[in-house]
Amino acid sequence: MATTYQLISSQILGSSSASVTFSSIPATYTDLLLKVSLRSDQAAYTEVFNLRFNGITTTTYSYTAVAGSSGTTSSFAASAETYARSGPTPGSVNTANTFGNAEVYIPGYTVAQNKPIGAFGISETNSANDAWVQSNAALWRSTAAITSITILPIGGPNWVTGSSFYLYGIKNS
Amino acid sequence: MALTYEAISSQTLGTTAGTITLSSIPSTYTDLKLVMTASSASSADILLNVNSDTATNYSVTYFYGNGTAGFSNGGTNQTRTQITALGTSATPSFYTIDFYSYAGSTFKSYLFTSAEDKNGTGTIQNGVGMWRSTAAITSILLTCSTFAAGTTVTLYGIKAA
Repeated sequence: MATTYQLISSQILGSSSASVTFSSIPATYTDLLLKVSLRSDQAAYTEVFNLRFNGITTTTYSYTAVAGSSGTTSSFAASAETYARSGPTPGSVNTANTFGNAEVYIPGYTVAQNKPIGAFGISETNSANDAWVQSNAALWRSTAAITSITILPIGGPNWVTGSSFYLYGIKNS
Repeated sequence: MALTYEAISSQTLGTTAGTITLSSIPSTYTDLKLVMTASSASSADILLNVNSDTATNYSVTYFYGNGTAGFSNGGTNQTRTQITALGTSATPSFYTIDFYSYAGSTFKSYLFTSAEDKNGTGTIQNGVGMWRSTAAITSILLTCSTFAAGTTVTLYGIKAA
């Protein structure tokens, strides 16, 4: 039986970086799964991360999110954005040595239809005000196959050393 | 190294359908993962039943957001697990359901996600469901008023060893 879940590529930062890109993603899988462990050097607030596909920066992205922190549940959304969003992750304002973890599932990344995306992330920092759990639905309105993914901090400016990024391909046959 | 993540079945609807059935699920895995991209001709929730059981053996707890408000809710003694409505556009929504120890002899719990963003409207839902039965799960039934053509469902089996 064929292997259905394979690591395409990984990057573990040995020094800080403003973004991380997976390029030349093969079209041989059915779905993509991105797993990240992140922290930025953003000093003002808890960080989230943005996703861009194929280097496209037009307003073809949108997202809807639900988040929980400190006993409060909230929901927010944005349309016609220049990125898809997930999160949360700690910034330098948060407890030292804490990283946020997230999974981003991209089904049918080569199918000629708009691309739905599901993401789930957590940032636990042993701080009642800065620990978050967040789930995102996102959409990239493009029929193009996804061939590259760029992960950027919204504020940053950098992902810090030790941040890790794993991209898996999943086949349905 | 043994393969631990395998596709059991996959189907893409060629025409509209009111139900999708995944049957004859082997008991040779530890867990199951269902992945679906779906759209509908009319807004309607997706209903989940297993083993054709429509008795009041289901319960659910979830949190949900629609872009303006977020909340948590749940239900007990239900006849199915209800998952957030499909959108009405041709833009597909994304769903996952993870069934744990589906072949074991304890009650069955499962995590589900529903992610649908329509560039201005959307919902996101994460939940946990329970089916109070000690029987192994051998079939999964998804019901909707109309699954659109192009809806794709894949069931994966995951082995612990």
